[in-house]
Amino acid sequence: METQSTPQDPRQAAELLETMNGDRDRLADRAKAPTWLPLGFGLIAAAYVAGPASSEDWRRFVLIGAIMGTLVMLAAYRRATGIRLTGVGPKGGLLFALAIVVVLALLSVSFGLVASGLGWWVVASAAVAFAAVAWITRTMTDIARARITRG
Amino acid sequence: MADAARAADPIAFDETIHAPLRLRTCGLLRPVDRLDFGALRDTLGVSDASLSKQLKVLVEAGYVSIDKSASIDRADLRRLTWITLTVDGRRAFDGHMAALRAIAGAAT
Repeated sequence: METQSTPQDPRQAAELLETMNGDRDRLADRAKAPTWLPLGFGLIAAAYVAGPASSEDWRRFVLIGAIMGTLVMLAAYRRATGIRLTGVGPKGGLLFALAIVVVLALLSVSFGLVASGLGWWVVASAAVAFAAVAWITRTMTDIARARITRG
Repeated sequence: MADAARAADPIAFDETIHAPLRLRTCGLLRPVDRLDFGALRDTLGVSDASLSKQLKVLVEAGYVSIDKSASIDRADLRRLTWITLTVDGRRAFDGHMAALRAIAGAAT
């Protein structure tokens, strides 16, 4: 069994704290979002926002696919990094809420475009959804990594 | 806010946690929900045997729990081993860190 007596030396204690900071930095590096994660969530958002240009059956399929895809990607992220995060904190929560608002707003825009006979412009709202959700995903993982670094 | 919470941690040096590898293990488990054994081992840069030995001590102290879950993407049916710092473990670690910071503070 690894044993060590209580340190009374401040420098020894400071060195231990420094070593732990290094450990957390390495773990935070490991938690970096793989390229496919923001791309995957961006694609899910884009497919959902483009829904109004397609049939109701297809929209239902996309919704189920989005839910399944989200669960699979989160599991794959945990599998790839070996980390299960506690959460992303208030900032991450706000970003998540922002993602929902942006996607729903763009979905409304898509419905409006289709109703106005401008169905092809749905590609534009889908592209915006892709970019916004990919950016939000990347930022949320950066926030989670910062929380690991802080300890 | 985290600093305020830390300031309120009761200072309690814990000999079980203090062994360097156990301290570093708890330090990595503290900010996450759970870590896979492999991720913990690679981040610490130690062997499977060394880590297993120290984890056993932490588990016996009630500071860490280990959960093995099946991995659907492994054909050999190996299981992922997830390690979590328990509520008691968190409390003991926070108290220990407060003690360590107090000692280190004398150096500055």
